[in-house]
Amino acid sequence: MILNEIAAAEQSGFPILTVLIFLPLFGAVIIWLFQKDEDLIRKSAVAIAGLELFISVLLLKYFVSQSADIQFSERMPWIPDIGIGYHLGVDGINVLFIPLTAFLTLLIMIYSWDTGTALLKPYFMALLGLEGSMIGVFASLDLILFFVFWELMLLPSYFLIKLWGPGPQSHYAALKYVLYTLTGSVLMLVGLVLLNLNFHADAVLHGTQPLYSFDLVELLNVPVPLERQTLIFFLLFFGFAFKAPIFPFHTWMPTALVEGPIVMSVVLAGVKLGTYGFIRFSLPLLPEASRAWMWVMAGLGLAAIIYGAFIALVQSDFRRLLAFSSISHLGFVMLGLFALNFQGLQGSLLQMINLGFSTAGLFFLTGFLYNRTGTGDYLAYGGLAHKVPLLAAFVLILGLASIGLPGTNGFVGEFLILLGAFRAHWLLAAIGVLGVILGAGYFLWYYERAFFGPAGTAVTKPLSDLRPREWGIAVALSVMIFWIGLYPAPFLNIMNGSVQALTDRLDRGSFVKAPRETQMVSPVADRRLPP
Amino acid sequence: MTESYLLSIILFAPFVGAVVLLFVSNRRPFLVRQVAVLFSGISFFASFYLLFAFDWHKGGYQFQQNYLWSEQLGIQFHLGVDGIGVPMVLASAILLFTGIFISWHIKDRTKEFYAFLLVLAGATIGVYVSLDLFFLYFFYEMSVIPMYPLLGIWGSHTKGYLEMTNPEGKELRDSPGFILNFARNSKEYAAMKLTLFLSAGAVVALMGILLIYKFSGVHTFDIPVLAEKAHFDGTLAVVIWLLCFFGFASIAPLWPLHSWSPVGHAAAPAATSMLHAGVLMKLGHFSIIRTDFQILPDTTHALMPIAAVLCIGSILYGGYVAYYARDTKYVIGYSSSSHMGYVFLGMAALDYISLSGAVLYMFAHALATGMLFAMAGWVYDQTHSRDIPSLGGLVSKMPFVAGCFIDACMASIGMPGTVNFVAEVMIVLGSWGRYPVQTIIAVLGIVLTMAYLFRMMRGLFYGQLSEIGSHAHDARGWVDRLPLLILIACSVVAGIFPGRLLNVIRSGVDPILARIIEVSPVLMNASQVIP
Repeated sequence: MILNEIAAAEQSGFPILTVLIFLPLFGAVIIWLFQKDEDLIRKSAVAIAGLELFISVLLLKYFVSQSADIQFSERMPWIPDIGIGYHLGVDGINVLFIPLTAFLTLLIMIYSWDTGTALLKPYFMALLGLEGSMIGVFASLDLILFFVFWELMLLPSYFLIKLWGPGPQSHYAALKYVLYTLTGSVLMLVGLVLLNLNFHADAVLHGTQPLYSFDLVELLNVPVPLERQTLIFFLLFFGFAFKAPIFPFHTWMPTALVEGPIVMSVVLAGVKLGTYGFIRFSLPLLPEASRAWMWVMAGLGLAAIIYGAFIALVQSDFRRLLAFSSISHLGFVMLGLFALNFQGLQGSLLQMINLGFSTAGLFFLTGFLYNRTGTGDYLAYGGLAHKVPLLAAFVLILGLASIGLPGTNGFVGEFLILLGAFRAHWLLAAIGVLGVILGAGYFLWYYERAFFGPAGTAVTKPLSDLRPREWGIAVALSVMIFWIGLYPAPFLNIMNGSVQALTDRLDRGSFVKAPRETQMVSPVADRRLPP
Repeated sequence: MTESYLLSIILFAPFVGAVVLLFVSNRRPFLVRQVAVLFSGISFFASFYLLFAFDWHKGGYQFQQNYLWSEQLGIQFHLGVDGIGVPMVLASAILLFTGIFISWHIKDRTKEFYAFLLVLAGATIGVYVSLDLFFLYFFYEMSVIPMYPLLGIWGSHTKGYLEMTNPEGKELRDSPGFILNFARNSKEYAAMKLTLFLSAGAVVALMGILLIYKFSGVHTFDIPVLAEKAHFDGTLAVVIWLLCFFGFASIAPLWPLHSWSPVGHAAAPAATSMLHAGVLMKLGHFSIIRTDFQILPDTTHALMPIAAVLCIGSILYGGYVAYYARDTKYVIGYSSSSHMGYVFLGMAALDYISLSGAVLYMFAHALATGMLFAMAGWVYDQTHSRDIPSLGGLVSKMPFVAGCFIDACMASIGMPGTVNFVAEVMIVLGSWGRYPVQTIIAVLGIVLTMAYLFRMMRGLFYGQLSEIGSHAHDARGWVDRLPLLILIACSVVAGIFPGRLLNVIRSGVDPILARIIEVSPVLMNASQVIP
């Protein structure tokens, strides 16, 4: 996988990715300097998020579709002693996540306009910090830089869950989330270090410079020995699986989603960092191990699909249901990734974006419901469709998108994933389809009990329907859902080039590449010091 | 020309300050503090100058001063620093300067307190700049002595000790039982235990030093001469190595020789704990490098696996106890002793990267643990309690301190952006080749660190505001805030731009390690380094 790079200066004229990462971070600092003028804080937070979305749309505008090149690349040495660099860049795999993050953050800011309560300043600072670090995760092509942002994310997440979580157990949920993720990440760090050491061994053998590198593009040129791949694969797997979360490492997720604030649920359910890690790092760097463990990974995906769906069936709380449905959807993404073919990868990538609109959107709507009724339990609902018809309609639209109704984005994603799975083995697709059926089951059953029928205890008093701000959020999400559902071509075109390159690499393996002048002189022996 | 006296200035400024303080009346405490600030400030700025004046291209010992002290005994007053000494001198000077401000509010015998503090820091710096074994030992022993009065006079009892009564309400404090009763000790007991442990360790190390002197055949204590000319074989080498290693490891503190350390840290006043955990403990590692690594390279190669085994005990046991400790300073004390295990791991791996990482970790840990002890001291000053369960909710009373505390926790965990992270990555990178199991345990130790530090943070700053915290106030003036800001700034700036510090460290590590493992440092390549 030889990747060309196009520098940011040629494409956009300014270091657009650096701006995207540091604009929210500096925005957080600026908000910190404000006095306690709440209105000003809100307005500037929304303005910063809006500007961020605008710049990230510019990124899409200048992005060249159907290309496998790394674009808007920025590259500088940072700690050259151990090969850490400041390397940013986007290709078809990660470019869509950046506008998605900016889009969700803007909606979150708008959502928080009237729901944000005490401690407004640190709240918006944490949100902006979270946005900056997530975009950093997506834009980094240096493994350590990636890890830096990956870890930085934990800090605002911890405080968002802990300080603004409405649940009585929010302390516990926050600590559980952070500890689980950190356990995975430190193991992942060891995996990243092993990749570097492998690079180092190769560089010493061939007498090339640099001797150490954490740079994804350079690491791709050095195949990892087969016996090492499995170890590194699983070390990375822990990092990504805890974050994603992938069954059976998911136990923090329902706790965090239910105890934490709505905005954190939106981020955790909408921004698929863990599975992004697989497609960005595990698959291209370790193609042989990915193929060898394909059945285990796809099996975990299937287990998650079925397990998540069954648990979701019996939930009475809407947020809990969504948490488990999220786990089930992540199973689909894993299934598509480890089908290891073009359709599967593309479907997974599209599905990761889709979930950012549908599942995350459902969390927004849950938030609206929760603000009105003070509960998420269907036992207290019932007959909501009469009281809040517009809200009920949007819940239906987003819910149907999340279960993959044709015409919505979920259908395109799930269809591609199942197609890919079928090409890998018919059995995978056959079991995966069950997830679609169960998905329709748990959502529609819940919807029927909560929105139709006699009015429940929480619905007795008059409820207001969607306010303009909420209406805006719901419409924005629905537009995206139908856009991707009815005309997915622009999105698929953006991905095509990179997904094709990745598929080629998976098919060919990491050992086949352009021959390289090999020096068989052992430099280690020559470089011994005189005694 | 002043450069040739630079080390003398750094070393003797605190001693001169201590002498000057003897002539200042205790009735003028402000003048006492001014004198202390002045003389520690000289060291502080001079050691920054040292970092930037040190020529890492040239490497070796620089700023040397050599005066014959006793010709018959072959003792010279030989000062000089290499790349390992520079960061440690810098850390000592930073902690001394900030420690002066941290103890600004001490009212009891101010003059004597500052005099002892200056002597303590001066002696510590003395070890780091001595190139003569006699003076290395001289300053080493000298640094232990001021700890006794500092703990015994200005220290504090543990809560358990104060409450030690039998069911009839009779005080049991003087019953012999308390000696064995862990965590219920008086400050006098802590002072005694610390001094005895460290003196015993020092005597063991002295035996090693004297054996080196007697059997080296070059009739000198001069480290560069001994490293070059002395040669030891067989049992003698092993005996000397073990004596020096365990003698110095007792201050490090290596498990199972650590038990004085948490007791001592807990009893000490804040500034003393800072200096003690920050730089005094590193005297152990530093002296091991100076004696074992430099004078007995072959034996080091053979015996260093001992450290690799024991460091696991440090990491896990320290972390485990820290999680269950109820006393803030016990938590930080055990955390320090746990983190010193990383340094031993980095040293044991005998790799260029990992040893540089270990040295950098010593510097990083000095800043991080300094911050934590400073903040624990602030909380103790305000509430007169170190008992975590009886504290809580302090964030509303001291937001600035709480913010700094979070930052210190992040630094201690090794969050990216702090220098600890760079050091951790380097230790992991270098140690994997030789000790993969230990490396995995070490990274899981990071999770443990996060667990106990977050637990303490939650206990102190969040939750219900406790009764004893109702009169607490924040760090208000610049005197209270400046030291915290200096420590945070050093940690973050060094974390983001570690280039110069790393180059300096490498210039010291490379020649030492090259003699041990006989593989040349492949990295020191001019093209690789940030100009």
